Amino acid sequence: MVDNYAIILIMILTVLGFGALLLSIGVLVRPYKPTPRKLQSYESGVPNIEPLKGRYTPRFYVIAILFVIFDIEAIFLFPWAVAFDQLGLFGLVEMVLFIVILLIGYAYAWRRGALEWV
Amino acid sequence: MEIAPPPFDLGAIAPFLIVAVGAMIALLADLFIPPARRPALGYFALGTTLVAIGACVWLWGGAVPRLAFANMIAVDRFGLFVTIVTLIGAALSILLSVDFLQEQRLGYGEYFPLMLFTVSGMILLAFANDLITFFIALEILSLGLYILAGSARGRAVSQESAIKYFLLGSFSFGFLVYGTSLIYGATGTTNFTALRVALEGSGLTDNPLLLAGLALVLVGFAFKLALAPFHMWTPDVYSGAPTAVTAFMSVGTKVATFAALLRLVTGALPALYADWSNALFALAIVTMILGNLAAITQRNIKRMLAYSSIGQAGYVLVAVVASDTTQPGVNDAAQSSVLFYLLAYTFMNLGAFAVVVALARPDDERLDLDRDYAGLARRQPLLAAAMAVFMLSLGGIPLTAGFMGKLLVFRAAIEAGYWPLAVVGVLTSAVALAFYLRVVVRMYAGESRHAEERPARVPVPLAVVLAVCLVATIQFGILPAIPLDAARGALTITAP
Amino acid sequence: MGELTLGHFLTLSALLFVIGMLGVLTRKNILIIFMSIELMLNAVNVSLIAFGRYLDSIAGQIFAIFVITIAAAEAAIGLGLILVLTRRQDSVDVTSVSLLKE
Repeated sequence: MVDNYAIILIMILTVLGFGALLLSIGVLVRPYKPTPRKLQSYESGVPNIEPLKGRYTPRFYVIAILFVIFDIEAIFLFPWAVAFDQLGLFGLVEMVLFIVILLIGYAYAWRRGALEWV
Repeated sequence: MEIAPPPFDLGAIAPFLIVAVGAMIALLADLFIPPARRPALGYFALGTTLVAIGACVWLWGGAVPRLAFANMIAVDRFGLFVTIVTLIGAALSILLSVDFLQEQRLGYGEYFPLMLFTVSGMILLAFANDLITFFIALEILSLGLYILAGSARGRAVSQESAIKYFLLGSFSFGFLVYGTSLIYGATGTTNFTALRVALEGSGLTDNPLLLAGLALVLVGFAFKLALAPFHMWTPDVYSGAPTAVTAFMSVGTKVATFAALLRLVTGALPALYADWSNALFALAIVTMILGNLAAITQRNIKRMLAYSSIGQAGYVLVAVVASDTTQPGVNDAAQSSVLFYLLAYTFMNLGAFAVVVALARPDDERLDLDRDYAGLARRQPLLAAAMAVFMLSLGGIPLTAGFMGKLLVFRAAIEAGYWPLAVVGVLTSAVALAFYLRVVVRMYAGESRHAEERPARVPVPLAVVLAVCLVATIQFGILPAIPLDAARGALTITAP
Repeated sequence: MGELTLGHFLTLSALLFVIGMLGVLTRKNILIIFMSIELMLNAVNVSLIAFGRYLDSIAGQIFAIFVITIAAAEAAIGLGLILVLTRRQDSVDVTSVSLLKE
């Protein structure tokens, strides 16, 4: 029982440590040149003084749609990961095939410019 | 502990694999091919379907029936027959599309890859032997068709068609999945073979969950097959979609979905025969009457063909009702007539749409029966003659495939004791002649509005489609032995 | 308060399904119709999971996973179609989609 909680604790520490590591790398590497506009609160890149009925670029929807599609693959990865030991090589090959098929779709979206930001 | 993987029988699903891999290759190739070379993708797609037909023929001679992938797939001659019919329909539709897309300036986009993905769904549907495989296959085919229906992005009607198709398609999918979940809940299995075994001689057949599930599944099927009174979307969707897409979906979807319906009700739920045959009986009568009556008043050829396809589905349904597995002789006659009718319908309906495609001009699709079809025989005698044959066949005039199909269907209905279905069928066929013959009369007696115009040039691929459909329609009407023997040989639904 | 039985879950699922169905039949906004369809599919998931638990069979969960996947694919395609539609006519009202009615 205690072991299980220890695993969870290690997991939490790993996640926090990993996040802190990434953020500190970001602070060290990125340029820092603040301007008033940059310091505004983030509204998906749109200046946030416009009236509420302003238009959003459809790009956001395209990205959101792609996100939904690629996000759902995780639903198959989780059960597979849980049973990974039992499934062995067969399961690995199957999952690689599955991801290759997804990558074809990803390559298509990329090449078609669906991932270009504006 | 190791979980033993199920036997990995890729050969059993060769036709599906060929089409699905072909679709992915086409999708990737689409990225690197300059727009001017896009028609090449059409011929690649055509080749893929032909190779898949070859794989079906190879499997037909091999060890069938066999179950694969933990019994989720049943590779039997029934599925292979349906797959071959679907693939023929797909191959002809692809040939139909190559020049049509260019001429109508619709752009190729993802057209051919989508078509192949849709076909892969149809193939999987024909082989599905599990509720899960079944609804995934149905969704693969539907999702592809939603996009194809809206593939004319510049045209409002096409987008409207896609939205309507999508909303009603997913609505009906909800019913279907709910129904399958109830069937699963009542029996504890999703596998068709296991379902049949579980229901045989059990007290489950009165289970309210099971019956509610069956009812919901039938409603879902009725939506997908455009059976009245669940057909409202069909005329709008068929007339709004690009004609080549309409041709494809009116044929392929019906063939594969009818196969799935037949496999589900006779392969998995024969114990509920009394229940589903009564429901389908009512649907068949309403469908035959409403579809054919509504077609009479249509002036737009695509809307007319849409209502006509509703009526035709009614005739196929008559034979499905007669598929009583407790009477082997009757059941064989009924099921082989379903298969024959679907084959005949593929050729005659695709042929009719091919003529509509041939007449379309870039600025005007030429869909009005009174304006555009009047006097066609004088300007384009060959096209008019072909259209006349397809109309007569759809109407069920002797010496055509449509007549043989109707004859077999009605005979099966009478043998099974469903003479009211046969009577309604014959009466509505007589009514249907009114609108089929009207097209013929317009073409041969009317005065052309486009007399001064040069006749449309029929591109070679389209001519091939017309020739194939024409030959098949007439040949199956005069010598139905070959397809009928094949259909009779295909009556092995999932021996366990 | 008794124990939760299969009946409770099935009732919940049936209610959600009917709410979704009524939403599809009565709403005018395509996005809301679409959300109602998603509600119907999720109602099905509730019943599938409940059956899976009650029958002690894994098939219910597998079934539900595939329904979720298909719902996501449907969402992507549906939103794509709606996006193309709004670019054209700046409205997501089904009554404005009526060129084809006769």
